[in-house]
Order: sequence, then structure tokens, then C-alpha cells
Amino acid sequence: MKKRKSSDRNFDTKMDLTPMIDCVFLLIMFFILTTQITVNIEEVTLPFALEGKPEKRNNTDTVMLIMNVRQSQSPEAAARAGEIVYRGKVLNTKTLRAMLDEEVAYDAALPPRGRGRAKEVGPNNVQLSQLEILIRYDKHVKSEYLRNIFEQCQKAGVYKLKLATTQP
Amino acid sequence: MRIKQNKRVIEESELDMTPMIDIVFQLLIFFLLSAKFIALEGQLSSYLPKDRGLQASFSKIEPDEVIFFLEWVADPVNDKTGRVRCQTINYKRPGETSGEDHEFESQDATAGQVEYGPDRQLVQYGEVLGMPGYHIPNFTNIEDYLHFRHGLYETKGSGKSIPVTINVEDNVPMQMVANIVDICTRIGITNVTIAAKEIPID
Repeated sequence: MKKRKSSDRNFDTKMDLTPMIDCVFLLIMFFILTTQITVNIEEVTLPFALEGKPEKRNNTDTVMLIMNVRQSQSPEAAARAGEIVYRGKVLNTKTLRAMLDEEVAYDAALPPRGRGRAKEVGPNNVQLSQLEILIRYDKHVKSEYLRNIFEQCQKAGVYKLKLATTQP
Repeated sequence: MRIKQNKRVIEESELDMTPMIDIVFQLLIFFLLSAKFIALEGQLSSYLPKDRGLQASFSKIEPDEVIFFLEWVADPVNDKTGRVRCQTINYKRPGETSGEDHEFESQDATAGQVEYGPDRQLVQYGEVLGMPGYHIPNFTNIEDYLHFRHGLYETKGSGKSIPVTINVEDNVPMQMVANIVDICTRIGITNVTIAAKEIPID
């Protein structure tokens, strides 16, 4: 009897949680990484460029919006038609403008950190925003679909533009 | 005796590799995902026009500014394909005679014009259905031309980069714009503007 008891106790202490915690961590990490990819990044065939510099992460002064222009997925769309996707949502001209205005207002309200958020006024007394726009676009898409973004950005006072390319 | 043997077997089996394998898998997955995430793409810097002016902006154009016009010339036979024509037009202030500042005549599309050359390349999208190729301009010529203009601008010693503006027509594939911004970046021109339509002030 005594011996049996001690072996039972041994068995109890060996039921540890380590593998389960490992698995949970694994799942957490997996979902964190994959959701980040799917929220901001659409699968697009980026244009080829030799000089595309890898993105700098150390500059915390500038806020960057990532816009995606993918090939239109509706079956009746013309060849090389595109659609604007921002955070997983397809935007039209109206919602795009609303989103930009909101982001610009939010960015302007942030407290200034360093020289990044200096107030800048362009010609015609247009209030310029220090926001950066990164456009990830499909290289086959006609430029008229990006011009929509350009136009709305200009109206919102955003002028800093980055074009995503493949990395050489 | 039996019990002792059992214990030994248990102790030996406790020296297992499972936690190490777990951690190795975890690291493997982390690096796989993060590496793909970071090494995916590069970025090209450019600007949008700061004003939303109408024609007013044309009077403010610097005489040395290089302006590219990218146009789509549809193929008369097959309207799904065509060629991209790239022109530069050098504006000159009205009343100004051509001095040493102006190597190219104003409003003249032939001086400094870049057409697709004899070694034009046909972009082929064989694998993408419904996407015929199109002719692209000779980017080697564009690079030479930009190099020349950039050198000319540097001799004036303003310390700034020569302004380059790219006007794109609606039908032109965006890859063409990326190519020109790419060339500018390679030469060291940082002041690249992509012009949208004339935008009215609202």
C-alpha cells in the first residue's frame, strides 16, 4: 500500500502544463503574425524596381498609412481594373476621402515629437499633413485607379508618397 | 527487484527531447513568418503636388524641371494592347529667350523627346490570361536623358535635387511610373512628383 501511494503521488506531479503552454504560445504567435499580415497587406504582384529600399522602422516620427490597390476581383471588371483596399475593406472615392480626413485630423492632433510633425503650409494656404502614404499596388493595374488615391490625398493635404516595390 | 527496474526505465524515459523540439518549432515558425514579412518589399520615395491649384501651378514651374508625360497609345488592331509613350516637355517662362539655362526649347516635344527605341522591349504576360503585353518606352534613353539633365542642374550648385514630375495618363500601367521613379532614385534625384489631375480647390 505505501509503495503504491508514493507512486501515485509521483504520477500526479508529472502532470505538468508545459506542453499546453507551449502550444498556446505557438497559437498566439501564429495568429498575431498572420493577422498582421492579412490586415495591412494584400497579396499583390508588386512592380519590379532595382532601387527599392527596405522600409525603415526606426523613424517613429512619421505615421504611415498602407493602402493596397489590387486587381479588381469582380468578374465583370475590365482588364487591369483595380480596387483600393485599406485594412481589409474596399474603399470607394467617398469612403477613401472620409478615411483620409479622419487620419489627417488624428495625426494633426498628436503631440509633436521632434521635427516630424512640424506644421507646414503649402501654396494656396493649404494645410499640409505629415502623414506618409505607402501604396502597394499591382503592377498591372492602370494608373487611373491610383490617381483616385493621389487626388484624394492632395485634397486632404497629404503629399508624402511611397511606392512599394519588390526587393531586388 | 522488479520495482527498481521499473523506476530506472521511467527515469531514463524522462530525459525527453519534447520541450526542445517545441521551442525549435516555435523559433522556426517565428523566423519563417517574420522573415517573409520583412524581406518582402522595398519602397520608392516620391511626392504628390503640394498645391491643389488649377492652371496657376504651371506658372510656378521651375525652368529646369523635367516633366514626363506618359501616354497610352492603343493598338489600332487590338485595343487591349498598345504602347506607352514617354515625352518630356521643357517649359520656359514667357518672354524669356533661350539662354544657357535652357538646353531644350520650350514646348518642343521633339527636343528631349524619348520614344521607345529600336531595342524596344515587349512586356509579355503569358501566364496571366486576358493580359496582352504592351510596348514600353526605352528606359535606357530616359536614364541617359535624366543623367544629363541632372548633371546640368548640379553645375548650377543650388544644392537641391532637380525636380522631376511624372504625368500619367489613365490607361498607362503603373509599372511604368515605378520604372521612372526607380531610375530617378538610382541617379540620386529625390525630388520626384507624381502629378494627378488638375484638382480644383473645394
